[in-house]
Amino acid sequence: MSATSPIRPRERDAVLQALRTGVVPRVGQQHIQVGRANEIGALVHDIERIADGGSAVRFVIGEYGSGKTFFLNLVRSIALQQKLVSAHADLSPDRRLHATGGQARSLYSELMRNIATRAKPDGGAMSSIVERFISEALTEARASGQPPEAIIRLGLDQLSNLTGGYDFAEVIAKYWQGYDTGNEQLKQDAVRWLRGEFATRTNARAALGVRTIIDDANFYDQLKLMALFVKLAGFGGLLIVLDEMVNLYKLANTQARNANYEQILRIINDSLQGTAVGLGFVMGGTPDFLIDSRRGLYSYSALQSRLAENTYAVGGLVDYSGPVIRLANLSPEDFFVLLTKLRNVQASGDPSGFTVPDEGIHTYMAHCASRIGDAYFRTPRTSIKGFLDVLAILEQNPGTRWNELIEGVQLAPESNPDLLPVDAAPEAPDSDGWHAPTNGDDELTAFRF
Amino acid sequence: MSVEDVIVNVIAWVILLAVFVGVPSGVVVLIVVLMKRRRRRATKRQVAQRSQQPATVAQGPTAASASEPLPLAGWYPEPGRHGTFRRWDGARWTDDRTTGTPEFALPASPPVATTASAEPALRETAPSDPERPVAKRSTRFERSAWIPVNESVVVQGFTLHGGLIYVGAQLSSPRGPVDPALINPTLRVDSRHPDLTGEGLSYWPSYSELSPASRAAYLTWLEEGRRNPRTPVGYVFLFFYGLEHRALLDLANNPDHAGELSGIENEVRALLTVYGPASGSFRGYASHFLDILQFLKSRYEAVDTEAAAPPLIDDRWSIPLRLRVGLGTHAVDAAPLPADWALAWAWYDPNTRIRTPATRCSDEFRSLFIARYAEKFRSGILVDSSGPPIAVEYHAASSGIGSIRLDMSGVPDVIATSPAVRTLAALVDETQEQLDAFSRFVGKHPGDRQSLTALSLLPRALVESSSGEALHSLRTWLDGVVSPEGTSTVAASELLDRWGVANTSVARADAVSIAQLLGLLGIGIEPDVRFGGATLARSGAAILFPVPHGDAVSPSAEYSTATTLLQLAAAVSAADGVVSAEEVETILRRLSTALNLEAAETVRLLAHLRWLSQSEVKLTGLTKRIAAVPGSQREQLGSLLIDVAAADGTITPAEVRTVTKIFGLLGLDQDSVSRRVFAARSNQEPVLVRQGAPARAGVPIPGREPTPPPESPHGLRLDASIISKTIAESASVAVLLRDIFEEDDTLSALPKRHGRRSAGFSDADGPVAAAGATTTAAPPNSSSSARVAGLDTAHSRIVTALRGQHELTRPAFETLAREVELMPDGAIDTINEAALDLVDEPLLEGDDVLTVNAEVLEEMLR
Repeated sequence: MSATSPIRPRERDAVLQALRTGVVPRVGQQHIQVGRANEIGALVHDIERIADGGSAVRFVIGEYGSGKTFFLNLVRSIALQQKLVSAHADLSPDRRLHATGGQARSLYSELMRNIATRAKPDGGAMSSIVERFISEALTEARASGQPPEAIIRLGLDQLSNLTGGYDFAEVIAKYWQGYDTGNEQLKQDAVRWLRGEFATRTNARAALGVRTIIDDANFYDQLKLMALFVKLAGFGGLLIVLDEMVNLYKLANTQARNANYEQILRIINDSLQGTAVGLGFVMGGTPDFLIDSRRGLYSYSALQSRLAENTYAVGGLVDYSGPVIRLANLSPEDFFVLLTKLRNVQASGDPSGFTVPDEGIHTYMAHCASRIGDAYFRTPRTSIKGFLDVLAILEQNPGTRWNELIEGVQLAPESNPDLLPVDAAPEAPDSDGWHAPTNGDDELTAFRF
Repeated sequence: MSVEDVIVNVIAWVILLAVFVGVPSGVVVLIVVLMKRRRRRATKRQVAQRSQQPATVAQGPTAASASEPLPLAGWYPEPGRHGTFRRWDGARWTDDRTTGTPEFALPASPPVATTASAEPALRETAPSDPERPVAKRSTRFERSAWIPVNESVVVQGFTLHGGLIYVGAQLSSPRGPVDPALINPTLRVDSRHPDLTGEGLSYWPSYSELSPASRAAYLTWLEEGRRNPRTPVGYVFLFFYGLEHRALLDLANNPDHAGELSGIENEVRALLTVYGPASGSFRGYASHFLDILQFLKSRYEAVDTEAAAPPLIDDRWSIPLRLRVGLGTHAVDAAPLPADWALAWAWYDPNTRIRTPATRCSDEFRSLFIARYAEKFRSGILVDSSGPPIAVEYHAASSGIGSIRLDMSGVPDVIATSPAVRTLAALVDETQEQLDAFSRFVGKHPGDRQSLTALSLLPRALVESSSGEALHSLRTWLDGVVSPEGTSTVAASELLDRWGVANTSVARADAVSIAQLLGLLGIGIEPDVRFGGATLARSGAAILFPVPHGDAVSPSAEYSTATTLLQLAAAVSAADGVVSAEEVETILRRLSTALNLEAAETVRLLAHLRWLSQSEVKLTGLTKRIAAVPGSQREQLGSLLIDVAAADGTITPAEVRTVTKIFGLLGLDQDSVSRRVFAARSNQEPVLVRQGAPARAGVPIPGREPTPPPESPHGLRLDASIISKTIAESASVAVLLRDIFEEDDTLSALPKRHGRRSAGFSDADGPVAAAGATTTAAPPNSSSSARVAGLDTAHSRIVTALRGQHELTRPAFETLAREVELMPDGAIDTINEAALDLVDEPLLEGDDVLTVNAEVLEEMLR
């Protein structure tokens, strides 16, 4: 991004508003990306492979504040640009990869709710995708003279080979019927089914006449189906972006945690063996989640051998082809570049609109350093927010002097919220699966006489 | 000697000088006379004023006799040590001292509420008590005094009513020794040339730095009651700075005077109504300030958790403080969050996507959200109360204050920390989705909000509580005609009239709407297009029957199979001119057991059957469907039809003819019909339809076991197991059958549509021509084959049709898409992708109103 390229107002507002509220923007990340060319290059390569019908899996590992979420969102934007469909979600106590109490379905719903295409990057693109598929079928139907529904079913024939494919195809056909008869309700129900929002089979049957629903058990199978389906609809493939993987690490129950890791193992195996078509996973988590030998991914030995880093990549040699990508925290220089980029975004890419000179940025960084030390660039959330506040004031009150404002910025160091629940876990009297019945006594896995 | 006297004397000297210099004496005389008059008037006013309001201005930080309350806590000049300030904690001196100007000194006035009637003049002689702070004063205005609301003060001959200003010689602010708002009465005022236009005002005005002319204008404004709408806003700001100083520095940490905040708040509100509309800057600062005042007040007052949540306004940029405080209070009290608070929370959360349905149908949105919230969380969610306290940052308008940070201990800022809002945002999302269809309809027909068609698009919870007249009348009518058990027949025209459908041919969308709303009211209808039935015919009948709530709205594969068979069966049965309901119902029951139909489906099937028996079943309509039945199914279908024909025990020649005909269509051996019919008829006993089980001979006869009686004297014995097998095997084919059916319904109900379709199917480049033929609105398609931006013909046509439009409603776009047989969402996605490929910007943006990016369009059409 050159400093002079204009920035669309929508992207500008999205970036600024998100950063000012302390969250990562969903669009326009390319305007404020700093460095990390190799990492991004590796992911771009992955995306190309997915678009060619391959598969990929990556773990993006970085400390609190290193910009994992930002990186993931950027990858997502790139994928969209490459005509993939993306779906992203944060894991949480009630959203997991494997569960028996509806948490996996909940994750699936969240993913599908956020499913996005290039033309609809904010999510909610499920009907666009379905309609694009059907439109293709309609065109073919006109050409061949067959009824549209027959063509739709023909097109979905290859889905039927996969688990759950028959009902999937059935639901797509229902969507078409809903459109054909002006039945909005049916269309909506079809989309709800596809998004995994039916909680019981009875409801699904009443609304759509199908016997199955998307539930915990077929979470991953449905993702594979969806990947195939988006390819049929004319997209490059499906990229699943999962953030806050540390929530799996936080599971106190060993069985529940291992079940989730097994699901990851399955994903990795499918990906490395090429069984999944046009499906990629990018997962973000903290180093704990990866390397903790008691509860992290490395505690599961099958995963440890697969995710082990290249032992020759030492002393300045790097290898970006492994499944794990490490993100370093920002340096002060990175942070400086970031602030200039923010200034550029705020001025909509027009250098004549800059409200703070480079010197002002130096002053601001010095101010931050005096208040919270290194934290201002290591966990830059609050310092970015403060800087944008200053810019906003300067923009709305022409004539104000930047140096006075910068002095007045209040900052407080941030703490990593992930650290708290781990400590608190043994006391937390949480229900099912969140508390080990053996009171967190994980080591005792075998008992011999 | 007062300030004014000094001024007058100076002027007198100037005049004398002027006389020497040679100014015409007439002018000088005039000036002198004017001066005198002015002086007299002013003096009179001052005297009068002082006699009734004994100089509240003039107090120092004195403590008087023991009966009087002590001064406020704060920094005061230390008695006996010049230039040193010492902290007074409200009761005694502390050991904190400072030599410079303290960060901010409190005004050295005793608590205002209690001193209104005090006799401050007496305090000029300092009390000898060394334990109390005493101000050393050389003039009456050495230190500043806050003039409380509704009190008056005289400055330079201007009587300033209403209070709320600082008057005095010294008032420091965090950023400077002299607060800009301080009215220093010793400064010169040019009363004769007040700067009423505000020319001399700088961006950050300060009383001490104003020109005398501007000061006069400012004092005039204050004297006139502070509401003159023509006054430049700079003066208003100057006054406003004082309010900020008082509220943020003096009162912020002083609960005893929280009551004063209301006075300030009222004043700001009044100013806002006068000056807000003209000055965006003042509007911004004043509204933020009001928020801060609310915040300060709420620190001292218990928040009423029963109170209504803040209103939802379209500007979601900033989260109202009242919301944050209210949520925090609920969290601390561990009280379940009421629905309206939850809604407000989700509404103002920046990550919630608020779309058109929520704003266009705000009432429906609100009631639906509340209903769903109650359903999901009962009395409400409990919010986790851990987290940092609420803190706000306020950028003061006053240059003397800058930004200031206040927090509210004990009330957590749940907005920043609690994950509960994600759940709420999801609920808002769902609620909006449920209103999507309704919202689009209302957008298209704004006047028809209460019409039955509109109501049919609402979720059940809202329909139940709706009180529209049309709905009420429909309910009353339904109560009259629908019996709680069994089916009732009504004329379709009655229903259609209620929906305002005048055409003889009923559109599918209308039929869906009727079925949907009735379903929401607990009534099923046949024929129901949603279940693959025909649309209502104006001259025909409709069958109504009660259905349980939550009943299916879409056919299962088995049900579809059943209706197909039923329809064929009815055709055969009707061939002899008489449909024997009994016989067909017998089959129906067998069908439902064989197919494992649910109870509700059986009821519907019965109603369907009744409808079939009341309308004409034509074989011509069946021709096309049968043609598409796959070979493997045909033999089974044939057998079933023979069974049906023989169901009543007699087979008329007409029935045979019909069956023969169908056999012909099915491609089965027509000659075999009579043989098979004969076989069916002659076997009243268990029949050997196919190779029977040979085991029968080898099994010893169970002597005691009574032989089962024949099911009915004339009944036909169908082998239930065969039927079930047939049907089970056909489950996947059912889907295909249903397709055929729908195709055919289209044929009979909408001949026009059929024409369009068949044209489309037969002709590869047909859709354009066909659409052009059926829709008059289609644009001239001379250039229809032209492709733009790498899109196919159909999408190109849409893009071309957008030429010259800046925005269009979603229904308009849907119509456009339908004309070229595309689906709207898919078309938008495809077109935008092409646009992104071409110029990196989407062509169409928006949800309910699509904005067309003119530049992109031009680029695409190039």
